Amino acid sequence: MRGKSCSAVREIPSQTSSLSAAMALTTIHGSSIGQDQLQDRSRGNLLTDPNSPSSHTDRVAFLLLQVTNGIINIMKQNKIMFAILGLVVFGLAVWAASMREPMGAGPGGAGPMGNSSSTQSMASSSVQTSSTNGGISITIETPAR
Amino acid sequence: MNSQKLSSYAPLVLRFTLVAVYAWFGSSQLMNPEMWTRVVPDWAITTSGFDALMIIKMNGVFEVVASILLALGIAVRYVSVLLFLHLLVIGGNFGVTNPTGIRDLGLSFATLALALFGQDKWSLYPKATNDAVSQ
Repeated sequence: MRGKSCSAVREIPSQTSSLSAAMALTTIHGSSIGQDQLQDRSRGNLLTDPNSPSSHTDRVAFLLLQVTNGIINIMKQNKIMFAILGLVVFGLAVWAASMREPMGAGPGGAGPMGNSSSTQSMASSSVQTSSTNGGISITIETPAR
Repeated sequence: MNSQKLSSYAPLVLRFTLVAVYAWFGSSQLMNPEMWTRVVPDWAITTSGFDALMIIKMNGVFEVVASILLALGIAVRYVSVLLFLHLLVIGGNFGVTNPTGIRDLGLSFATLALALFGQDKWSLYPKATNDAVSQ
């Protein structure tokens, strides 16, 4: 019973914010739809009159209302949101690892299989060989081991 | 926002930080395993019977899978204990006189801290049961 009453209370701000978002859009478009009318239309009469001058705005407002409701419903599932956030962190770490040059610094630095910092600095130093052949400059970078 | 509410985010920050660390190293080992073979100790090769490249790949798979589980908040305590033991061996192999060894040991005990805390209130499975979470 307590859970039901809580969810009922939670729905009020979400509907209010959805309605506010829709109202903001209609205001921007210069529509004359009032709050009462919008509430009526959100109950199912929104797309019934395609010839209405404000039908395009209505469609956009309805879509915005649906999207806002969807986002709010997802936000209510906090665990899912934080699991997605965790996967985003994971993805960023994988992306950062893929950005690393395969040749060069070597596995120096922190971590499970990291190498010592002295090795890292040793591996980072490289020998550059430049030559000019027919106007084309070639630079070969050889990582020191 | 009071301090009690802020403290509830501490295990989440720790968990996501460790996700980033293990995901970075695990994926790096899978993408460029050759780069890591020289840090595989001899005893690991002789004991396991695998070559260094295979050990690095298996290590990478383990760390990637573990970091995904940590990211989702699934079996946080068990995964953290495994990662703690895993990193303790690696850090111990480098030794306490090596800066990398000290750093790895520090990370391993941070993982132990996560294991001791267990599920936070944002974890997916199983449901959090400890008192600190229910606040």
